[in-house]
Amino acid sequence: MVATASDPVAAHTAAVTPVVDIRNLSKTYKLVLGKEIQAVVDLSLEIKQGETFAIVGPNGSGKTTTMKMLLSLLFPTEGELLLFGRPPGHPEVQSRIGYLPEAPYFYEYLNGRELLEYYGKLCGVPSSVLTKRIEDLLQMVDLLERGADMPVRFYSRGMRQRIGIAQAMINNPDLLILDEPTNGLDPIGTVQVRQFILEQKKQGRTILLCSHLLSEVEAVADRVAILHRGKVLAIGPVEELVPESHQWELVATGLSREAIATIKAAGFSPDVHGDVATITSESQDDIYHALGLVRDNGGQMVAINRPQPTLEQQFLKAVGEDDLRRTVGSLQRSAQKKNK
Amino acid sequence: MSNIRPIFLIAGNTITGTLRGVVLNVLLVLAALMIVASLSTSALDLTAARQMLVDSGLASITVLGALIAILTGFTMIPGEIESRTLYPVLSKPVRRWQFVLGKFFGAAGINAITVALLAVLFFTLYFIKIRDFDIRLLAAIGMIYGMLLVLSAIIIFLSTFMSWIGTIIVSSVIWFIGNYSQFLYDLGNYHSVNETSKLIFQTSQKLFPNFQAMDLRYDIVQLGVPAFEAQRILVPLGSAVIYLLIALLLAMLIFSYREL
Repeated sequence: MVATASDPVAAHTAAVTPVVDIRNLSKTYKLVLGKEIQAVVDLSLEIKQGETFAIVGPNGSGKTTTMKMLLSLLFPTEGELLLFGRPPGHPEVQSRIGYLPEAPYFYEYLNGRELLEYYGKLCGVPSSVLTKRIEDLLQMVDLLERGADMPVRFYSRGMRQRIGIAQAMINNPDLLILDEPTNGLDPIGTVQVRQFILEQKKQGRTILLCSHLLSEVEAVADRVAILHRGKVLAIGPVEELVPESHQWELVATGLSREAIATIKAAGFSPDVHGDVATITSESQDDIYHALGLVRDNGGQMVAINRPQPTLEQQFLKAVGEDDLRRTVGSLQRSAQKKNK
Repeated sequence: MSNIRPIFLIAGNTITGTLRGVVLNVLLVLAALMIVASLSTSALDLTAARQMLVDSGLASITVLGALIAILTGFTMIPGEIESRTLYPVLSKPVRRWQFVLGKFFGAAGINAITVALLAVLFFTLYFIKIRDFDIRLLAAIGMIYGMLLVLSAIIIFLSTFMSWIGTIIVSSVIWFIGNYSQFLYDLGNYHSVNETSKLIFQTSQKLFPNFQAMDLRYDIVQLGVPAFEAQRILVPLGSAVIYLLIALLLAMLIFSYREL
């Protein structure tokens, strides 16, 4: 469904309809002996057109299950899931999606060019367009010189990841679903993938990203959902999840024991490691007061910082709090059972 | 047209993968050697030599064709699931039923290549020894191909819900029973067999495809029929088509609801 200027209604509908619309989605795996595992619990989220959305979470948090449901590889136990306003699995929906699976495996007997040709034809890309697009994509992922005519079985892990990105782009998709896109890549490859995502973002493509590398997510995502044990612990723009720092930090050196004691007596709690002392405060005035104390007592200032909390810290905090809540809950339940 | 295109793309890729792999090529070489070995033993007079050639030649094509169909077919769907090559394919505009049909037509293509190669070898040797061409042999080989198509449909059906080892075992058992269908029928009607056993034999004979009815060796070698009546070909072929369609429909249905 391509909105045109001649069809303003279709254009408006396309703009307001979320690309991904997940409502109260749950997935429960039934095991033997009646046991069940809740992989995804009551998940709701929307991804708007042109947005880069990241799902982060530890192993077993439900990220891959969610992605598989989006691709109709798994079926939800409850809830609703729409892509471009339609249920997943519909050929029209699939033709607008590019998917990079985690640790992608491809037909080992095909070479890079044949592989892209096969996927391109499956997507219905016309032959007149396909040849040029394959060359462009091979160039983009740096496989044109080495890899285009080499069977995939001889590819390194990084080359597999790159051909995976190329196949995800073969149909010029509106929505890119990338599952751990930097998996197995060296630092240069990681930077290239980041640049690729930023380039796609600039072109207005909607991206759903799933990653463990939170620094990567932080660099490219507009919004992030933190998933843990199938539940969303936090969701929102990166700048909301990672609040602005109110902390000041003074790093000093050359302080004697007496000097440290004087600083402590003034109400500070310096963190001392060898010759380096770090003094933190929420007040800028206090930090300047501490700086005066450092200088008066023969020390030297190394730096005054405003340490920015990272997404990783927020993630660990959220997951840690959830784990703590669960542990306390579990202990309380056991205690209640014992009392009964 | 857009519904058919992915099926043939998947079939083509399946054939390419099998041809570029080791299994089919090794099996084909072994099969060719076995046919040459079995046919070179024929001596005696011309009639005996002809009978021996036809019997062992067609039997070799049947057994080796089935072996190749099973050994190349059992991994077609489970192999794609295990190696996760299925995920990028199903993330494209490809329906699951199209994937199943694509795999079946891929298997049909591999069967066609196998039967064609073995048949060319068989006819060449037959011509060298007998200095003749028997049109009935073409019909017999066509029926062998029909059997292999049914077998492939069964393998695809089983592999949509069974492990690869289960698929190999069950499809081999079905192949074996189907080739002794007349024997089951006779047992089911034998007067000294108890009623329960009769029921089991009769049900098995009706439930499993009758591959024996598609085997024209007996008609050529033992009965020496000069030409086949249409009924002799069309009746077993018709029941094979019904069996094949049921197996494929069930395979498509099961795979459409399978979680991957």
